Amino acid sequence: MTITTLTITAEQTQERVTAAIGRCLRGDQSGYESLFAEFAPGICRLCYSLLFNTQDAEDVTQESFVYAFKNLERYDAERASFKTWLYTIAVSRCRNVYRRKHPMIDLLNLFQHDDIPAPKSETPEAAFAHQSAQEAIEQAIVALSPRLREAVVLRYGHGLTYREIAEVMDCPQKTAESRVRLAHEALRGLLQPTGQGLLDELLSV
Amino acid sequence: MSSIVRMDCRFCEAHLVAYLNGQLSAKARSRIARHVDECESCYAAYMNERDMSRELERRVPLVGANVGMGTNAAFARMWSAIEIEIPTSPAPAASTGWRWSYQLRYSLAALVFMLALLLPWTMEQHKIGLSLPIPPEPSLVIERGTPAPVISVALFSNTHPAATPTPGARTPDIESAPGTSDSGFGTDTP
Repeated sequence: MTITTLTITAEQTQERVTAAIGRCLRGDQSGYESLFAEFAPGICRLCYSLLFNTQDAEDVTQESFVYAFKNLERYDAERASFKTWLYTIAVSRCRNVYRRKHPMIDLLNLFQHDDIPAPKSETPEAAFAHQSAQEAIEQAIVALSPRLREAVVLRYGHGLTYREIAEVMDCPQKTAESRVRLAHEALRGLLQPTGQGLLDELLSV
Repeated sequence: MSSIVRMDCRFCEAHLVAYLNGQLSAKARSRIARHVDECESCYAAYMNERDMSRELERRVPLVGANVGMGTNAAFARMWSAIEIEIPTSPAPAASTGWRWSYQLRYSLAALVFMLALLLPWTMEQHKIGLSLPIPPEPSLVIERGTPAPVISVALFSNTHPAATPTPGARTPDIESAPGTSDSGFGTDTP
């Protein structure tokens, strides 16, 4: 996909979102449904990546949309995109969950490998290695501090720019940049506890 | 290793991840690209960070894929709960009195801050004006030899009971007042 195509797609998405917000403010229920359909998968994935608990992730997703829909007239399109605004709400609610309890790792599900999609051409050995690598990354992300986890999930899981990450995390852009860098260092340390071996194995999959 | 090279290594170390994420300015990007071509240790660091970035780009989006997150049933369940809470009437039109724009809020705050700074200064200016002494009235010049005029000074206003002269009361004469010099105000001429 060329850059021009990507730009057109982003513009079309923005137009769709703006139109949906307009319908919501006029009391048209279909606007809310459009916004939910557009952003719920991303918000849900974000919440799970930060909390590693299915029930908490669904609860936070629900609360975030309810808050956003009830306060839609306060959304200022000049300050931030709707996506950034929604992500800010979701991250804030996830932080409330951290404060209430430490992130509970859904251990049983985390170690059930069966549903991770694998290319059909992969050999069983490669598929197993792929799942091991995925599990290793997820365990390392869980072990990060909340702020570093947020930075790495927003950057690599959702493709936010450093400026957008700074808005969502409510910090200066330089801080967002250094958090992504520190997350790299921390993950490298977690993934190679004994020299280069484990990391090399992981990166060779 | 020269100080310039060390500085570039430090710059590279601090911004390599941002470089790989495409988040640097063109100037910073070319500085790092140039340095990585010249410095072996920074080139090795670049390769490590590049591999880590690629791995994270591949794996972080898959987090949650194996626990049933994002299924249609889950979304339908969430939507049912959200639908009940959605406002059913149109949002009230924002009145211009209350819908402050971001820029207007900051402009007002700046104005209040400036007034707070200027107010004590203007009060100081006013205080200085009041403390100036009242200039004396020009004094009366009397030639030598001329008897000083008798000036009755009305100490009280006419409405004051004491101002009404009692019969037989003598108006005080400055010339005969004790301690008064009879040379007047003129200068002595030799």
